[in-house]
Amino acid sequence: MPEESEDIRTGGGKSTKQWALLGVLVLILAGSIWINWDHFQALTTGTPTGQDFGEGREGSHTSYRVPQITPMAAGFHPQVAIPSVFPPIQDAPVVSATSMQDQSSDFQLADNELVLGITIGDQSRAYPINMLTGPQREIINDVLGDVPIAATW
Amino acid sequence: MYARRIEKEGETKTLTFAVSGMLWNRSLVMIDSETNSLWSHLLGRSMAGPSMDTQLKVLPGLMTDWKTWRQRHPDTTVLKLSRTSQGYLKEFYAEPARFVIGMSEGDKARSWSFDVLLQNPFVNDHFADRPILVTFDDQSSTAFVYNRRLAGDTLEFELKDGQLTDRQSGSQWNPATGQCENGPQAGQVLELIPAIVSYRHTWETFYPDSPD
Repeated sequence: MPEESEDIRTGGGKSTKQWALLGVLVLILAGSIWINWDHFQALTTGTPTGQDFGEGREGSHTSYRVPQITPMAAGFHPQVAIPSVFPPIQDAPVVSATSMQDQSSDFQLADNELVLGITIGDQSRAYPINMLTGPQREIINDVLGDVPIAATW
Repeated sequence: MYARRIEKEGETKTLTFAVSGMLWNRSLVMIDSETNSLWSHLLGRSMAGPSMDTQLKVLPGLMTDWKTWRQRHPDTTVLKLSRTSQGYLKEFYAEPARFVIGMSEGDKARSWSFDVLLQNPFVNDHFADRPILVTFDDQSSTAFVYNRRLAGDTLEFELKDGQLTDRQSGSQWNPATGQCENGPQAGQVLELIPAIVSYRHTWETFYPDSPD
């Protein structure tokens, strides 16, 4: 961005001492990201802070103990990326596409937004991918046409 | 997209899935509340716990853009949660060689790379003894896998006068909706077959012997 390059240009007058300090700070930052890489990735791939999670039931289940699960298939070597199980998402709200055609609707999707769609019997549902990211949101437990489904991609 | 109902030793259960916080081959591991088992997200198979070796049924989910989905299903419903990202637009597939659409059944797996489909967007193919049509819509960056069996006949498709046409009846089909729009088959709809869009490197990690 233009602002950033401007900063770099006007930074030309800094003393050697200031540059050395800056270098050390950058190294510390890079080091801590490297050490906590998995956690950092989880954060940067969309863990929202202070965002509305919607009206779906999120936050009721924390009772599993993950590491003691047996038996385990040969060749299966899971690694703990985030040391907690996210609560399952159920009963998330849905709206009809026809209700969205109303210009006054506060909920709209852009034509080019990616969705995962499914049709069961005469019922169809779309799951916008932008709502299915971040570790806590990657699986939606739902029921469509009496069929229990897991929307995930 | 998976069915949550499983059958194990004659017993039917409906599972509730959550994100376990674990990764396997850098891919999500799911956990279910009912049996406390771990599941590979891409394989749809339980890898640990009481449900081990159970395979989830893949449903014919379609990864596409909102415009294409709404065109296929004007009466669709839509999940309404806050957005946790903004970046998943059809432009996500800007580097088509990084993506595949794949199918698996038993120990068989096959994938079709988006860049190859871009060059040849109508592939008459077979998977697990089923005749399939793999097509790619450049406008929406959507890969479709359709069943070529229709009312007992096996159709073969070709591009004729710029239209997807079946050789058997000369009918013209819309690849984005699967509907026949002209000819003797008018009104018929091709059935979508369950397939999964994945990063190529992820697919190849889980299915190392999967040709494309």
